[in-house]
Amino acid sequence: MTDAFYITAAELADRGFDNTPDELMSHRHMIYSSPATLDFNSPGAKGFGVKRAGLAIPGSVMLLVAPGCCGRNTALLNELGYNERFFYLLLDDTDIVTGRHLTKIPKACKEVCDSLDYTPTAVMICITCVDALLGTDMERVCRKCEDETGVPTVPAYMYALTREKRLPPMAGVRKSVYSLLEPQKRISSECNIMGYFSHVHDDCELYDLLHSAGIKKVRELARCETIEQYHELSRANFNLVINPEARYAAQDLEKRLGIPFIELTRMYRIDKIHNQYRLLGRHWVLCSTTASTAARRSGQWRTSTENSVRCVLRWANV
Amino acid sequence: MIKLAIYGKGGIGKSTCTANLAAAFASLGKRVIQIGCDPKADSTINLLGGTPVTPVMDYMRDRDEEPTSIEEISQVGYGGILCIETGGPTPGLGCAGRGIITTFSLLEELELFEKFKPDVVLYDVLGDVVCGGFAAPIREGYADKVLIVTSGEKMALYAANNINKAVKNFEDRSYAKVRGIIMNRRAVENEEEKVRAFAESAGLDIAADIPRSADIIKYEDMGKTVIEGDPECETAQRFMELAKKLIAEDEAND
Repeated sequence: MTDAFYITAAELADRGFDNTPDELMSHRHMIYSSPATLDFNSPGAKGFGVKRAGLAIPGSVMLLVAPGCCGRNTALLNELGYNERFFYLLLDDTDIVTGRHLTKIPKACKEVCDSLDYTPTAVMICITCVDALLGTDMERVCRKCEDETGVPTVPAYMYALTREKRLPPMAGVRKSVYSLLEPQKRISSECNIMGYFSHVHDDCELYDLLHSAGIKKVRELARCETIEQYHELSRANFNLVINPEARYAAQDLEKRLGIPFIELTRMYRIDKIHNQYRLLGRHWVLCSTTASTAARRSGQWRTSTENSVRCVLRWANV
Repeated sequence: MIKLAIYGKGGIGKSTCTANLAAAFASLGKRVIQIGCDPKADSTINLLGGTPVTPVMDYMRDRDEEPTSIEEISQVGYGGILCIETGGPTPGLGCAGRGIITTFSLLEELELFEKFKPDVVLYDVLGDVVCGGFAAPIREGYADKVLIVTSGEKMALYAANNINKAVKNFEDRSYAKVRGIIMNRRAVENEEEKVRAFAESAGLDIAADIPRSADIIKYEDMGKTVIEGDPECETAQRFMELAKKLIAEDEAND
């Protein structure tokens, strides 16, 4: 196949599953575009991969433990202001065969902390696929690092080979970045939004709906600028998960800190979105006044969105 | 919950001891899981009437997808024992250690312990602690204690010593500790003296003394453990005594 190929969703649906065009049967070609390419998150594209996401804890630094080739593109993240937060421990073949890199990690951690003129809030140890095959217990290595430095140390796994498994790296790193939260008294009028490493748009209707339902404080990891603000995340009465990749982290918080979570599904039809908000409202244990306010606001947002869509369609002359 | 990993030199009788111990626990009314961590995948065969369970790695290799339920990768054997085998790659290919790690991750995701609620979990682990994968059964959350199977043969004792040192190397606040030795007699001259001398030098207890017995082979040929085949025979009684001892220790710890 040398020519570009496309087919519309309607045409594909009309053909039925048994008549799927050969061009879309990935195993019939030497070169194909796997789902992984759609997910691929190049540092050059300035998205959030494991390394950048792993630095979501304010004031943290990362020690990348990898063969040189795995770490080279991390340099691209420097443009985003991370150049003071990444450190490298490069592995060679002997390290991997003998496992000696494991004794080097705590020493490297100590060196990183000593080299800084401040104490980092946490050290993320990011390790790559080579270690997945060695089966290293990184939790244990991190404890040794903590003993050495006194700084909380958390593992993050950049295991590309698990990308299409049940627990892909981006779900694992979410658990890592929330793992330093500790139990504290929870406040009924506070919640977290979990899902992405950048915060939700300021004008997103979700804030308005939550506030109208009586939630006074909505927190997000990406809005935390200090470690103190980060630790306030565990005050939440519940977590609102808006990306399934955060589900594993939310489950961990439920297990460790007793914070329940509600997961919203990403939808595109306005009536479905509205219905989901109504169902969400029904589950809030709030006084009827605030619940009805939320319902009213939800209806207003629906009308407003429908008007916006109509404007766009008119503009696009559809 | 009692969580034990059984290690020892290849061919020393780990699977035989593990399966008999599992059967002994089950006959004492305990809910038991046995997880074979060996590419040969024959750890649980004598709990299943000689019919092997599909190993997890075989399932994933053949179907190219992960199982979605425990039932797809397990079978219930003698005394209600849940039998699972990690399996492994074709000899000479792939990575058996990684197979153990993958299987353990999968069992965790399928919430094996939460759903089955076992009283006893036994891990039957191939040979020595050769890489991170084979150390996985003694990590936090898995086995609490290790039993080392050895005879009086020089190489079996050598392997037992290596395993003991390897486990001690991992001995920090969350890893398993060596509980003791299962002396699996192989009719070696001065066998008891040799094993006792090793146990004393390593500071280990001989938790059980299993006599050399034709009963084991007889019932294994029938796809059974001696506990199932002849619960009154001396060999079966030794496994029962070990199981009772471990239960008593666990209850005392609680």
